[in-house]
Amino acid sequence: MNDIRPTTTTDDDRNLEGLVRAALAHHATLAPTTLRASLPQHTAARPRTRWLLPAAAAVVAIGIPLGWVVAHRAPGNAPGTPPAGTTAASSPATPGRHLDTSTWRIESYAGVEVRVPPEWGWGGAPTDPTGDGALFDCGATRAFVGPRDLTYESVADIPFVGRPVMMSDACGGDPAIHPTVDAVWLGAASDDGTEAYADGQVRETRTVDGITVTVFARDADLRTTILDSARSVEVDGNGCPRTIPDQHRDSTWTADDTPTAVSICLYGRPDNPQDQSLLWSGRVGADRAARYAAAAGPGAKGAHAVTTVDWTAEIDRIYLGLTGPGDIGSAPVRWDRYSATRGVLSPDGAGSVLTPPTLADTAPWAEGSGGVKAYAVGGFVADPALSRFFRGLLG
Amino acid sequence: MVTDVQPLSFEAWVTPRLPELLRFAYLVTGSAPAAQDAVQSALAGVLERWERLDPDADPDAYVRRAIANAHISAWRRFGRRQVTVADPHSGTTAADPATAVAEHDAVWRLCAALPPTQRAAVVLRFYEDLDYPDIARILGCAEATARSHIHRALTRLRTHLTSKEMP
Repeated sequence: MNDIRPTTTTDDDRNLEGLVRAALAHHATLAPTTLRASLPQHTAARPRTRWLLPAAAAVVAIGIPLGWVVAHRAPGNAPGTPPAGTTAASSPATPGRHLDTSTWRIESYAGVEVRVPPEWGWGGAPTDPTGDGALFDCGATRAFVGPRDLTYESVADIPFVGRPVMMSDACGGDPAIHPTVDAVWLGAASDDGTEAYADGQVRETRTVDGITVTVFARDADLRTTILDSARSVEVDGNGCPRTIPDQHRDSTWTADDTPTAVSICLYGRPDNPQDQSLLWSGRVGADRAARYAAAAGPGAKGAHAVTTVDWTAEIDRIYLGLTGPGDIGSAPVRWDRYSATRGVLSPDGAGSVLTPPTLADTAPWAEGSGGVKAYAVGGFVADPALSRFFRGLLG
Repeated sequence: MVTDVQPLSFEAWVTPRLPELLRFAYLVTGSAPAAQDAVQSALAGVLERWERLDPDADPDAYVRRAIANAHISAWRRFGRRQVTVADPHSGTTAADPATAVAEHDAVWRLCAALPPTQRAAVVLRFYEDLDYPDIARILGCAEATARSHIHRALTRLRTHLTSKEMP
C-alpha cells in the first residue's frame, strides 16, 4: 500500500522545488554535448555480427526487457568468467604480440608491479573510502596528473594508471563506468576475466598475489603485455618494499657510501590512513641523489638530533631510500621519512636526526614527479614552495 | 493531393535530440562518461528496433527509460553508496551569483546521494517538467509510485537542508 498522502504545498516546498529546478538547470549546462563514440549507424546490409556487443549486452536484465547496460563489474561472477552482458574479447591463453617494454616505467602497488608506457599519467580507480564495501567513483576514469603536465586535475585525455584513491571529493556518478582511454587500475574491485563494452573498450583483469591488475585497452597486445609484466615482489624495481621499512633495522648506509639513487616510496592512502601498503613508488638517479644527500640527514644544514617526532597529523607516509652502488636489495640504503611539515627524519647510528623541510631536501626527488603530485599529500603544508609538489587532501 | 510519407529515419530522429538526451542522462547519472555510455547504449537499443517500432511508439520515452534503468541497474549491482555532500544552503533564493552556484552544487550533491530511482524521478519532474503519469510511464511504475519517489526525494532533500540550518 502506498504511504503517500495528499500534502499541502507550502512556501518551503516551492522554495525547495525551485532550488532543485535551478540546480538541475544549472548542471544541465555542464552535460556533454557529444557521444564518445560515433552514433549507432543504421545499415540494413550490416551483418548481424556487428551487433554482437550490444546484442550480448542486451541480455543483461535491468528490470525491464527493453534496456541494456554497458558492461560492468557484476559481483558474484566466477573468476575468469565474463560477466553477463559482456563478451570475451581476447583470451589470455592466446599468445599475442608483445610490445617493446624497454622504455616502460614501473608502476607498483601493494607488492605487485607492472610496466606501462612512459607517457601514461596517474589517476584513480573505484574506491571504498568508507570501508563498508560501497564503491565510489572519485575520479576513476581519467588521468589527474600527466607525466609532463604536473598540474593537478586539468590534464588532457591521456592513458593513465589508477589506484583506489579519492582523486576528488566530487564522488558519486557510477563506478560501473570505465575509462575510455587506455588505463590500468591497480587494486580495483574487478573480477578476473575479460569483458567488452559497447563503445569498443575492453577490460581484462588478472589477480596477482591477491592484488587485481585491470587493464583497459582496445589493443589486445597492449593488454597482454601489461598483464604479463605484472608480478609479485617484496621489493619493487624502484627499490621500495611492499611494507613500510624500519628506518633503523633496514638502513645499511654508512658515511662513506656514494649516493646513486633515491627510491621514493609512498605508503598509505590519503583517504584511508589505516592502509599502510605501498601505494606508489618512483626512483631518481645519481645527480638528484647527491643533491638530496647533501641537503638531508646527518651533517646537513639544520639537521638536529631528535628522540621523537609526532607524525599523528600526517596523512601519508613518504619514505625515501637513499641508495648506494649495487643491486636493488643489496645496495646500501638509508631510509628517511619525509613530511613537508615535519621535515626529513633520518637514522643516525642508534639515534635519529631531523632536517627541516626545505626546497633543497624536497625538490631533488619531488620535482617533476607525477606520482608524487598525484598521490602524496605531503603534509598540511603552508609553504607554497613545497606544497606545489603535492596534491590536496581531497584532490 | 496525396504524397508518400517517408518513415522518419533513425538518424533524422536522433540528431536533434542528442543534446537533450545527453543532458537528461547527465542529470540522472551524475557523470559525463556515464551519461555518454548510457545514451550510446540506449540509442543502440532503439536502432536495433527502429524498423519494428510501432508507429505510435514513443522512442523518446523509451530512450529515457533505458537511460534511467541502466543507471538504476548499475547502482543496484554496486550496492548503496553515499556521496560526499557539500554544505547545503537554505532553500531561499540566492541573490549573489556566487552563492547561487554554491547552492546549485550543494543541491546537486544532495541529488547525487538520492537512490537512483528517486533521482531519475526528480530529474523527470523538475528538469523535464513531466507530469506524474509520464514519469510513471518512463520509470515503468504506477503513478502513485512515481509520486512516492518524488515525495520521498523532496523529504530527503528537505531533511538534509533543514539539518544543516540547525544551530
